[in-house]
Amino acid sequence: MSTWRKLLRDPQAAVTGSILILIFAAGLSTPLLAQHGPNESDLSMVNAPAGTPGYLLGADESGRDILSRLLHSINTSAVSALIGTGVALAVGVSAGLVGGYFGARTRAIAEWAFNLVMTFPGLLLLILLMPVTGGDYRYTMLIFGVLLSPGIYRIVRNLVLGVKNELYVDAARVSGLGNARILGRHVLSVVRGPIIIAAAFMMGASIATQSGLAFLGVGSKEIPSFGDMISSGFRNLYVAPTQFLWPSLLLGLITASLVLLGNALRDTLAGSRPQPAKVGQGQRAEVTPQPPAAADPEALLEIRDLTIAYPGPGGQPREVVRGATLAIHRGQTVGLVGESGSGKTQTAFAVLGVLPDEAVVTRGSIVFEGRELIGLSDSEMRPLRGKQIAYVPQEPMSNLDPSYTVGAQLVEGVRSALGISKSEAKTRVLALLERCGIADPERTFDSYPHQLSGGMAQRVLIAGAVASRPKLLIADEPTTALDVTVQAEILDLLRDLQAELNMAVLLVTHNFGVVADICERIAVMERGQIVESGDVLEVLRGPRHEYTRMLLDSILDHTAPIREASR
Amino acid sequence: MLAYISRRLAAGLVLALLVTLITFLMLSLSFQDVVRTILGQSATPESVDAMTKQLGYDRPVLVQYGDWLLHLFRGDLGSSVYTSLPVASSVLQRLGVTLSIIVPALIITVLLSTFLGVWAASRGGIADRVAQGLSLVGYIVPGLLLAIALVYVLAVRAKLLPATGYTPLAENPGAWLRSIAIPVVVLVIGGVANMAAQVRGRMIDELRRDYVRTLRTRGISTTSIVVRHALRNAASPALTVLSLEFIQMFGSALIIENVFALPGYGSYAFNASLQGDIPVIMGITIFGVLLVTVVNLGTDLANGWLNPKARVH
Amino acid sequence: MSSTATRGRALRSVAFLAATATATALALTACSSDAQEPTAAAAHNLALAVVTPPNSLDPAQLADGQQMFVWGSVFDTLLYKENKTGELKPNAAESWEYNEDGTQLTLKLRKGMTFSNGRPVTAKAVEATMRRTMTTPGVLKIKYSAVKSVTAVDDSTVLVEFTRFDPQFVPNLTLGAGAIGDPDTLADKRTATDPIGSGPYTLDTAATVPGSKYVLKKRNDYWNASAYPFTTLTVRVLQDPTASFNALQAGEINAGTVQAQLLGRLDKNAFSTTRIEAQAVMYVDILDRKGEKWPALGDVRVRQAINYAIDREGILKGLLQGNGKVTNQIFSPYGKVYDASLDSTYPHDAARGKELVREAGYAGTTFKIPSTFLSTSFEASISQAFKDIGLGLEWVSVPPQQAQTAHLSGDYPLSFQITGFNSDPGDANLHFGPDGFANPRHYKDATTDGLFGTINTTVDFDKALPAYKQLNEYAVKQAFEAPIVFTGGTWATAKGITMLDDGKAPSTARLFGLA
Repeated sequence: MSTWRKLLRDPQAAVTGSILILIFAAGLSTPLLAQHGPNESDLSMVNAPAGTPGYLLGADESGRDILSRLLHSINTSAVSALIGTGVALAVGVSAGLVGGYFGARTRAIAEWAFNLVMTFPGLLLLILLMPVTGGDYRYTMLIFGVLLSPGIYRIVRNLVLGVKNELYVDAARVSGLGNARILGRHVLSVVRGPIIIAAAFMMGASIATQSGLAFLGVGSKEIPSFGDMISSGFRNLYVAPTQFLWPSLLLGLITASLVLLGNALRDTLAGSRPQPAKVGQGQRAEVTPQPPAAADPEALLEIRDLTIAYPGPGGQPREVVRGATLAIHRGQTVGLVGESGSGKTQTAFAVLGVLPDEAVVTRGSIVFEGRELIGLSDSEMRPLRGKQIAYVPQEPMSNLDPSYTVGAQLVEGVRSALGISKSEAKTRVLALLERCGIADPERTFDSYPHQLSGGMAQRVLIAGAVASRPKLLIADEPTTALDVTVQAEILDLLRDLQAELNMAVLLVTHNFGVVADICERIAVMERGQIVESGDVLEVLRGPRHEYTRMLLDSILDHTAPIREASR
Repeated sequence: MLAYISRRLAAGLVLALLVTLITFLMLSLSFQDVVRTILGQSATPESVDAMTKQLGYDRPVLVQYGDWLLHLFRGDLGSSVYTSLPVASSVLQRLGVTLSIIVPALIITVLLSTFLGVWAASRGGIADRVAQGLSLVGYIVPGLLLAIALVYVLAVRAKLLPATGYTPLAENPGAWLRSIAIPVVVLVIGGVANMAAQVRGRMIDELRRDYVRTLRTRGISTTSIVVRHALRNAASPALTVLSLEFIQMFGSALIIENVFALPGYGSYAFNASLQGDIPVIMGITIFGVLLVTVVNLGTDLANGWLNPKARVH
Repeated sequence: MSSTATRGRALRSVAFLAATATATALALTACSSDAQEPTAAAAHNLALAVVTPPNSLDPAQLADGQQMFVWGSVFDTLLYKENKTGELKPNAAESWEYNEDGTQLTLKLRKGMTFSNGRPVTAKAVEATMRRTMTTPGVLKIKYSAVKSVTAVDDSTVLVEFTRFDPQFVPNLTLGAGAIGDPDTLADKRTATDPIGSGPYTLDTAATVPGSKYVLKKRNDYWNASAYPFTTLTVRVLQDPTASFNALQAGEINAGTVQAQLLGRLDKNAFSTTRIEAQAVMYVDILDRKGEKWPALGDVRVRQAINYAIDREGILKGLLQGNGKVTNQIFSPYGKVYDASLDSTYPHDAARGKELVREAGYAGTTFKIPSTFLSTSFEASISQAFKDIGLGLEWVSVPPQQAQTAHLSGDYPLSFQITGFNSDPGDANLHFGPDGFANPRHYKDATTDGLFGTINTTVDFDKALPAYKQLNEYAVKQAFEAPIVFTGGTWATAKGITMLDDGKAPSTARLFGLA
């Protein structure tokens, strides 16, 4: 329902959808609208100009009413699209899911079969098979659907292959979901978008192919189609150019609308509408930056009255952080605690200047070393990032670029932060990797992210973050995605590095155990507001705010083991 | 790696055998039609019989196929039953013409659509709308109309480019360039719309991924993030689309070849299958299979290079 | 024309109509008015467009029609049809002579002719070529079906002996059946693609792209070199009429057929046009003339009704832009058998047709007819015509390579055809002979038997003419076919080039001259 509403609100989807509905509705109401049969010819009307009574768009070289033929052609193309795409999807998606998800042997068989299909010289085959299809475009489209299916198969297979080993599928497998359900629930949802966009393209392709074949004169001439009309108009181009124009434009309009609708659909189905935004313009702020009033002279970072809003469902801005205020001193470790959705991560992103494109900072200030960060562009932020402020993300795997080796990514970061030579950077990265507890730095350096374990990947990310000795490290749930034993090691590493480099750390977590373990101060966040902050021990021992107490109560049972583990 | 490639090529050969066998079996249904078409108005039962015998179509189908295979291994694809021209050299010649249109068209399509797609996805706003508008124009404007308009303006009126025909590259590079110019432009305009939309979509997805944010927090430049990281990750699915586009272009080329009277693969295949020129169809089929095998292999290798996860070992 | 008309035609039927067939022109309707100063380079190159590329160049496989532009330049034919009259004239053979009963034909060869490899053209060469064609399966073998033997009597005399008189044989010697190959290389592989001939040109294989472009160089040692003023002849295959028109305008070709509707756009100062009123006949062939399988067609009233039903003027004006001539008969208007008075036999009169069908008791009968590339543009109007007289027509889509099969299969009562003219004897046999292509169910009756008896035994054509004319009249009255129109065409030639024929001579470079 909401998807539909979103689609309706999206101008691209609405416009192209309406165009298509309009066109195909006109096609469906052909019996009402068409004044002539598609093949009804009147020799006295040959090349009649547009506006001739009874021939609104004129008549063609055989004296057939162009408008009626256009309407009938719409239906032909609709049927072509439905048959071609339907067959391609049915064959391609099912085989792609199977081929991508199951083992290499199944895939090899599927691959082979589809290569077979793909190697049939498509157009030629359709022409060759005319005796079989009897020139009936519906059978031709049936075969064309099969010919299209390798495209779908490959898209689906590649996507499935790509996501197959990603964490949530593994997790699902661990939690005992059957293959069918994993396929259905997780994988299908990932491939849905690309399939829909491909389907729109394939509908276009089916229509175009049917028209192309008709243009070349393959198939029954009794069937009115755009291709046949274009070919007839083409012959008559110099005499009556509009005969060529009408079917061409309508065909173009249908294909273009299909594609644009496909794009819009995909965008909508993929969740929040990902509009492209200018990369490098920095996060959006609607605050007039004020000269930083140094309220806390010792603060390295001071967040005051920070408010972040997202566009809400009704167009109203929805505030996810509301007037958050927080200060971190040099070398201090502060835990930012709260349930998921309480705005912790958004606050952290705001400091880094990497809020998503939709988010807007509507109020407040973030002062780092006396400098206001709100309103800075990406290029203004860049000298700070990596060098002064660094970041360790929550999910290690998705935060590494899958296409580059660990070494290459780290070297690039180090070099852009410190401006040193490649070999220097490599030495430094290797040392860092070793320092971060990686047993075989050389090997890890040359590994691709998917070859690492989660813990290793997190160590790599930490190494990347601390490479340039930042003054502030923002760690967003750095241990949540990891195994319990690894969690402790990572926390130890962070603590050691903090001491060694004398960094301030903003540790975003929902885990009081972790906070108790390594933080000096704590700030508790509830629904976008910081409700309590202070010294860790004081807050844990005597929580003043209702919410803090509730959080502590709810985790009390688990606290002991976590503490145990984090020691 | 070498083993992988040779295994894939071997699989391609098996595939070729199977496809040609099926094609031959299908064609065998129309031996008599072909003979009658060759003879035209002089097709009497006697002349049809004599011709059938002369062409060897009276032998069992599998024997004929075996014979064809045997000749194939000797590098002989036979000759057209209509023109008696050797199939192998004709196909190669025709393929050369079509490839010399498709390959430049594909390269330009890739460059242009990458530029448009990346530009739209990384700039947003007006850039996005301009890029989308451009590809929309590519969809709506019929390639054929464009071809006619370009021919009329550039060839018929201004006489800058030839209206029809093809000059081989080896014969005269300048004339070659002129002879492929309009067909390439027409193919590009048809292809860019699709490719640019794909690149844009993938780029938007990639630019929103976690690793992009992490890279930003490391102070890595916008250009590097867009080009080195996001584009590279977006390239792998785009490549799959590209390989399909390549095969598709053989189809689009058919119409272009017709309009510009280019002696290409598409029109060769089309005419052969309309006439039922069996040796030619068989030659086209086997070249088609090999071509697709090589293109797919190339795509997979490139995909492996781009996407370590999909890399084959 | 003949077999080519039904094959390779593929693409657009109208294109085909406009450009195909025996080529050539009526009187020079439009003279290139002023400025008679042809640029030297252009004047000596003739580049013309054809729709159908030549198939094999093997002298046993030569097809007529436009394909002759290429092979007719490489090979010399024994006889030749004169421009603008269509009369048989000596060519490589200086004379030809039948014996009394037409079973022996003596051909005297011209002296001093050479093949392009320098060897002399002798009676032995003619003997070898003819004997080979007689025994080689292919399109020409049937033209030798009455030939018993061919003998080179001396260096310049060839004696052809027949089992019976064949009135088509001599006219055929102007076409593929009359080509002379080089006996020493006939058996070589090159014969099919690059043969040695004694014609006015040789094929430039380096510049030729088979199926697309044929470049021919003039032989200065050809015996009749003055009849071929062009030093280079380029034959471009342009299947698309718009492409052909563009090529003409862009100066890439300097001669080509132009669709009627495009004529107005042609620059009158740069091109002259020559109209050819009739190059082929378009007709609905009634295959079951005896009514064996479809009794309705055995009734002459139904066949006549079909002739009344067709709006010939409408089709000519509406679908062919007036390019051609309506007709009730199939004989060429340029020939001697054609009888203009017969063309008023079947005026467009649907009411009359309907009445005839009703009278015959076949109202409501529906016939199947193959739909081919040729028929597509005309199907709607022909269906309408059948509907107007209370009959039905169902077009069954047939792929091009099965068009011949469909026509010959016996599965269809009717067939739509466009057939080029051959010669009066050839056309008579093709349409009405018991083994004619247009008569696949071998219809004959006492009248046709009698008339063909006369035709096939009367050696002197003029003496046989009354029989031909009777046959024509009988066929029209009996409505064995429903002729619709003679399809025409228009050649456009660039300044400096002139068209020397009006549709009566076969398609060779000889149709063109310097202005």
